Amino acid sequence: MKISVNLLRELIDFEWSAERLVENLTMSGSEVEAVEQKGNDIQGILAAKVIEVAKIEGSDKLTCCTVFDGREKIDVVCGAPNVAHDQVVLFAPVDSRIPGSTLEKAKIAGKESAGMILSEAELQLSENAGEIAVLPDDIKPGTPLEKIVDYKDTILQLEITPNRPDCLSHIGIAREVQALGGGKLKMPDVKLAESDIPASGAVKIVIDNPRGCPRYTGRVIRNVKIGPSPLWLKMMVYYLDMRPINNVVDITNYVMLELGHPLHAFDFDLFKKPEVVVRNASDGEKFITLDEVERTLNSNHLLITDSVSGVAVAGIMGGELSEVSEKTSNILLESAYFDPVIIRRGSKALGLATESSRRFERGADPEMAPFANNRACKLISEIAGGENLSGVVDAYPAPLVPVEIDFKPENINSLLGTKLSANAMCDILKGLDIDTRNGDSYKAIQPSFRPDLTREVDLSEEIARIHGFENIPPVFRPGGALGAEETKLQRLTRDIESYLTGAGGTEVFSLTLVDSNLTRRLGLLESSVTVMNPLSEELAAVRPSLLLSMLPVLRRNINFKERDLFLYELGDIYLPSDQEELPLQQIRLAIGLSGYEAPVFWGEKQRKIDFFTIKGLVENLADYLKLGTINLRPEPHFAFDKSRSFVVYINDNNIGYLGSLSEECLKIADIKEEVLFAEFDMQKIESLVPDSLAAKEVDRFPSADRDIAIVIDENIGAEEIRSEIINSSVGFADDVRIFDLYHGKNIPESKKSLAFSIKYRLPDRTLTDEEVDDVHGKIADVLKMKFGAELRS
Amino acid sequence: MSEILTFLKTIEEEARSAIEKADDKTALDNVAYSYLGRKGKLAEVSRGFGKLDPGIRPRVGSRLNELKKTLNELITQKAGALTSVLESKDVFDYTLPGKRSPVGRRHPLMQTADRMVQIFRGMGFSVATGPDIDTEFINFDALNTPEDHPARDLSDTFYIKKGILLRPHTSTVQVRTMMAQKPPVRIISPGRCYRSDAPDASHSPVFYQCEGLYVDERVTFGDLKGAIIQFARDMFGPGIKVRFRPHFFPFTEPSAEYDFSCMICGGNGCRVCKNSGWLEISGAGMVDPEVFRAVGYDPGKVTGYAFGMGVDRITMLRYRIGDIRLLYENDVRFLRQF
Ligand SMILES: [Zn+2]
Repeated sequence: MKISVNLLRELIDFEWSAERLVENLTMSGSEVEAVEQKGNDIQGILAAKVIEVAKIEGSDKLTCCTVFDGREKIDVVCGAPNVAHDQVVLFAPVDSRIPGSTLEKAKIAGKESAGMILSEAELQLSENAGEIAVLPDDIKPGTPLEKIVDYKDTILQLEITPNRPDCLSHIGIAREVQALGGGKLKMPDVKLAESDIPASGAVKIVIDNPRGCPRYTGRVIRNVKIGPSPLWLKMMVYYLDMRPINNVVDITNYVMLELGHPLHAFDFDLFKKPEVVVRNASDGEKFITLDEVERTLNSNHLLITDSVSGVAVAGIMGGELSEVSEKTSNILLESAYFDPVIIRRGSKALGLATESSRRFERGADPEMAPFANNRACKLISEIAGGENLSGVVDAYPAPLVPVEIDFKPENINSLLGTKLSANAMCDILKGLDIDTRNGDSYKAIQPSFRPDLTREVDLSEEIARIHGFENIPPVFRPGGALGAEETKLQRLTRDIESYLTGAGGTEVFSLTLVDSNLTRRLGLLESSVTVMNPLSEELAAVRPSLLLSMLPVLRRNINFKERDLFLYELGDIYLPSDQEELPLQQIRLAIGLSGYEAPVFWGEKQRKIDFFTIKGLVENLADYLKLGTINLRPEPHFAFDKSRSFVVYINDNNIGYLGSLSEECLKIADIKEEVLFAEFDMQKIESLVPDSLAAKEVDRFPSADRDIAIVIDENIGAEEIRSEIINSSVGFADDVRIFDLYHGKNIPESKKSLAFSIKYRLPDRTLTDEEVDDVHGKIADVLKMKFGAELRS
Repeated sequence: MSEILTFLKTIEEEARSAIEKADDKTALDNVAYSYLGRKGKLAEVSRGFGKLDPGIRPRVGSRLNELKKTLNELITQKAGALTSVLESKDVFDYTLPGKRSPVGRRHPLMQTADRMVQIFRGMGFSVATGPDIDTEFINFDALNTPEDHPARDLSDTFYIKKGILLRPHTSTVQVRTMMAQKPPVRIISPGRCYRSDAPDASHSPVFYQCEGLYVDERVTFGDLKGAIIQFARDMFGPGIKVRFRPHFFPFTEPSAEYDFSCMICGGNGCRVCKNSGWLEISGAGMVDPEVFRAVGYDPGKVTGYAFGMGVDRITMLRYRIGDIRLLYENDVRFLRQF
């Protein structure tokens, strides 16, 4: 909503500077988003009379005009088609300023030109650039522009919240200024000259749907002269972001901006009968609105008719066939009140929002209807001439009853944390033109322009904002236990994040909406939750696995030549559910690796990540979280290479999966690097994390360390042998590690060489060399027997 | 000590000195070959293993293994030193980069969310979560949102199907918490939210919010101001100012928008705050009695405040990030800064 400070000052006298006004409005809820100064760059413009217009040879557009500026005659070149002898025009002499330039003497088409005859657009008073501005004859040449029109103005752009339809007008903002102590509101003058002929004889108003149209007022004006508006009116309408059209239409718009009440002027001669019937449209009924679009209405639309055919879609837009034009002489002026819901639905169904519908759908003021009608008719008869038939024809079958709101000042104080007296509260409400009564209890009477006020709590907001939010003292409560402890999952999440970050992982936070094409190509779309109305295919599925959001992140980084990646994400995934109303939501942990491990050191060779990198990472994580030992079981997975696809178990608990992305998956995701990926169910991990830990003492006796290297069949798993070493060590071996794996030279085909280092140790004494040698030898024998191992030296 | 062990000791000493003396790659290769190669000195000893006294065999075996390992290590080390062109033989170049282990980073949004949680937890708030996909009842009806409110439109909100949608705010968690638990309630609810906004510098269709709620007897608007002011000071420093402006939300009355004084220019006006000295943060207000009715609380007995807060917004202000998309692109070059 745009507010002209000049127009505002006509409705209330306030002493505040523009800055103070801006601050006060913003801090009371009408946020000023922008302030625009009008007319600051205009100087020295005055009225002048055109004395002579002469054609310029060789030009069909330009003329040489002699104008009289009150003191002297000046020759100027003019290009406007409408320039004519005897006109009073706006003239910019040499050295005067118009927006964007300072006038200088010029030579145009060989003629001296000492100034310029101006169009309204050149002064930014309207958008009319095609012709020069022509002033009324009674303006004397030499009259400065500021005496002709008050063009210096400050225009405020306000953000009006949807609960405040009253503030979509200057009167509403003036009332805010009044409440804030700026002055006293003055309603504009509506005393108008009327003829003896009663309007009630000229038009009959019938409301078929009084719920949709509780009130309809009409006035009839005869013999108006349609033409351009006077400069002040054009300018005001233009300053407030509407297009000047003609005097009558501009007046209806002006009154709407002033009083907030939408009006509509009909060419009454185009009515087939002198009647207004407000009825619901029928489904599929066609109607051409004045923007020349044929609209299809439905039975929820309210239609204004002349009892024969439609003349306007109520509250939204008038019809083309009854539009006011240059030929119009008799006018029916509508000022009605329509139900907000009907207008909102109607406007939505048509996809048509207008200044009028915006106001009706938020809630106009039913009591304002006749006042606004009188106000507009007064201006029409003054500006466009014509004769007002006497009286407002007012159909108001069931006047709306204002709500009486009971309130207790102590309730309001205890909600706000204030100590305002009841009187102070009533004074605030009075400033907002809300009457209060004080009998057994306090009552506030809802004004007709405030549909948002129905409850005590609504009054508390009015009191708070006018008192000033800044005047409510902040309270700093002590913290304290209201169940503020962390959950196990929250703690676990933190542990995982700090572990993975410490291990070199970069945390990713990605969109949960993922590409439906990618999801489909990975075969997951059927089992995914999808968005009914997505922005695009790239955001059409809700991720069923963190892989779906990790893949694009990997691709993006790899494409930017960041190939060495260790990424992780803790986040939710979603799966459709048959039993539940809502999809299943689970927290998961994903890890993605590609490229090389760690940064390169000088003098060292970088290691490419491989399956064992991610396995080791997961083993470490499990160790860190004290989950127990990880074991992998081969199992196919849609995204993994067949030979590198595993489910991760802790004992018999499946906690997730891990593997190497298959070539096909990488192709689908358009990734040109090997990727290792793991995803875990956080709830499962949570259930496996011990709630408490009892510390063990450390061993006090030194260990004896021995290595053993064997050659065995390459199909025998390393872990199998490692377990066997532990099993056959009679409890002596407490740490067995693999330190070498070798294929190739000196090793027969289909065999491998494995080397283990074994720590022999007992908790209660030192082992003797003999004991160690003995058990080490025995282990070698067992490996020979069980696995056909051959000792290497 | 047996002869053979003494012999091994001699071999070790010889080898060590040979490695030490090798001053190029070829010399080192020759040393490696003569001690560790198939016909090298150690292999020779191994071949004689069978002829040894069985009692001494294990000790010789392990000594042999140990020696192999030691020599291998020494040779690798020396090779590293020889191949490294960066390191000259005699000059200690301390300007060479240190050997750094990899460092990971937490996502800036998560760092900020953690900080926020920490601050609010200190004020006695606990962290509550709820589903991203929720019913229209929880999202709108229970929050006093009119049936034809534009937020319910397909153009504003993502639907999964009729009546089920991706939450546009985490107020859903507040509703669920109140429905499950009697007052007092003091929670914050960080989580993803969704709105049908085409991505641009200040919009993301998925974003990260953290809303707060405190319901008890005698909770006032003054308490709301106190909580937000305390948060602002903790997050951005004691000099930060907070202002509340009246606003409108269907689920709060009175409703406010709150601003922080611009931490970039100190409130003097700059490009970021559009010269106003203030940065709009989010909305807040006193919980509307209709919301209490919807969740089964008695509005005559309790009052409460609720506030919204964009984790993305706070993150962007905290790190002066100009484009929200940077937070969701997960470009490691960006993430490495935090
Ligand atoms: Zn600033």
